[in-house]
Amino acid sequence: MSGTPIPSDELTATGRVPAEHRVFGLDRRTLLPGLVVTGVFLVWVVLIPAINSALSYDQTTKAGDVFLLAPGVEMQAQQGWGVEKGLLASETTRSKSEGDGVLLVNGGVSFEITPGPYEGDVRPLLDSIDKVTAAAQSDEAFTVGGDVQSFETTEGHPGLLQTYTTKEGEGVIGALVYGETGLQITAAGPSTEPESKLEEIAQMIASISYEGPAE
Amino acid sequence: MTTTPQSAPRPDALDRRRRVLELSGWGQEFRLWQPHNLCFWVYAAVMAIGIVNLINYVNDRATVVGGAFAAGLAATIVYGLLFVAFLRFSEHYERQPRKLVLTAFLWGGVAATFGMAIVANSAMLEIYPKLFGQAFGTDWGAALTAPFTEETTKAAGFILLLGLAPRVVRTPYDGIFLGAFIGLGFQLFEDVTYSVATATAAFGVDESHIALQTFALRAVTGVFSHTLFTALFCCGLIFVIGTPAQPRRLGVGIGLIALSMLTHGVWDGSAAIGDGGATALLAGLVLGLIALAALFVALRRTAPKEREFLRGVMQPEVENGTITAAELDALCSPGRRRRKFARHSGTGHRAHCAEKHVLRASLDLAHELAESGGRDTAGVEHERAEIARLRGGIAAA
Repeated sequence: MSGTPIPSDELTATGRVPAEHRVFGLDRRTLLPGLVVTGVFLVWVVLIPAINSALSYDQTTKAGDVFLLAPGVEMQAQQGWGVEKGLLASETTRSKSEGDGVLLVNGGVSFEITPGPYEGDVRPLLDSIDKVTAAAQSDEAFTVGGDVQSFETTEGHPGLLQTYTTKEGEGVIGALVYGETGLQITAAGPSTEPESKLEEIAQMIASISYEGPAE
Repeated sequence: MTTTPQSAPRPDALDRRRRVLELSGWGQEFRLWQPHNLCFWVYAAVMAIGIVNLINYVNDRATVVGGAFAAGLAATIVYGLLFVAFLRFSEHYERQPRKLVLTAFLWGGVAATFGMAIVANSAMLEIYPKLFGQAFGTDWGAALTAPFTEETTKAAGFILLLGLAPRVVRTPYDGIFLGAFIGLGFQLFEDVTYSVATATAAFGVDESHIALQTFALRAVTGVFSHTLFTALFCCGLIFVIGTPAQPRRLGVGIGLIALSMLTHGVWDGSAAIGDGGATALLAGLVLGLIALAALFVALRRTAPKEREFLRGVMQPEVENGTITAAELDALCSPGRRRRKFARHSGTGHRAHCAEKHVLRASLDLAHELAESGGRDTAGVEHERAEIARLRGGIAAA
């Protein structure tokens, strides 16, 4: 079943745009909608990301800052780290958010904790994190290696850590399980970073505490 | 029931049919390939970017949470087919050309989602905490992002369709249905990405189960989602822009667009609006119902124009004896009156059913006449013969 052909006033019988409507082979009547959408595209895909890149996070951690990582799970931050993501326990939100991880940066070092629903032992969680992280890397040199090391937080909760290497440097992947929440810990940076930052990361991991689900 | 004796339709009735078909754009063919049209190149370029981003998205996740991806995709396809069937069934007067519907759907699913919104959303969601702090970003980031980024990127596709098919896309009805298909494409592709994202956030453990849980939640709330928002937005755009078939009505148009964006924003920000309590869902639900009601009002208000078009197309069929004047009146009436007409024609269930079938076949004839540009093609003659055959059923009853 065929419909009617394109109306004659759209194109000439020879399939050309009428001369009075032609600009560089295009139909002048189609320029406005095309340019409007091009404008929308440029705003959202070029301008807004450029503005985002030009802006920077100006929040820096202070002594005593405590971040909400997940319902009932908190972490005490070390001083002087830039906050790219993370809700302080002292901040109140209308949505009564109980936190959704944290991303801190200091020089070339990044430290991220990502919570997710998980029930089970910490070792299978670390294996899953290794698998997901490895698959998500575009860096083919990414390799999780080394022995799995156990650690305990200050309040005595057990977790696991494993090192990895990339083209740019090295890092640590870790796992903790609290109730029905799993925590993925990722720290990364160039191998030239001073020991002091690694020590601060270790202290932040150790400070993670759990108060249990809110009643 | 008897029809009037066959005679040639009056020239003015045939002329009116021709004018109606031209004005309404009914039956006009749509083709995407229009190298002389800037809208085609913009559509193709953004679609290409969307496809590349989509492939990267799938590649990055298929190896990690392949089960979640497959489960989310399968469930979404079934859900999507139901939605498509509902939307196509709802197009009573004239169905949009299939190619146009597919073009709209793919814009929503690929170009708007992966070509623009995914980039814009990521940037906007970082800008708010940078400017106003993490707490503000947590509360209002999504509500102040999606209504702007997503509604405008979806509407951009509708503007391209206006430029690609100016003789097909003309009435608020076209805006509602094409907008709904753009929104449906966006909604379905987003459903899959949400299923995959939640499975990834759960470290890939029990991935299929988590993906299906996410899908189920989004399916339930899917009524108040992109299909509704975009139908309202694009209906409003027709009023704002104005077409040969719909004079510009800025107030109505801006009102519909604002309602669409407001509903989207309230839905995304319901947790903060409701102060984290039970009123959160209620706020979104109430505004969603208002938006749904506005859509039905818009449909009811714009339907008379479609019925007027239908009458213009079918009037000559009364004069040539294919249908009766009463059948034409019923055909050009709201659904309730059509059903009442069928119930009161003849006696017995068989007669009622036969009359209902005659009305349905009359609509098929209208579609065929629209596609033939009002000419008596083999298809048109076939539909007339069908009506005569079904009318035999009424006589027998």
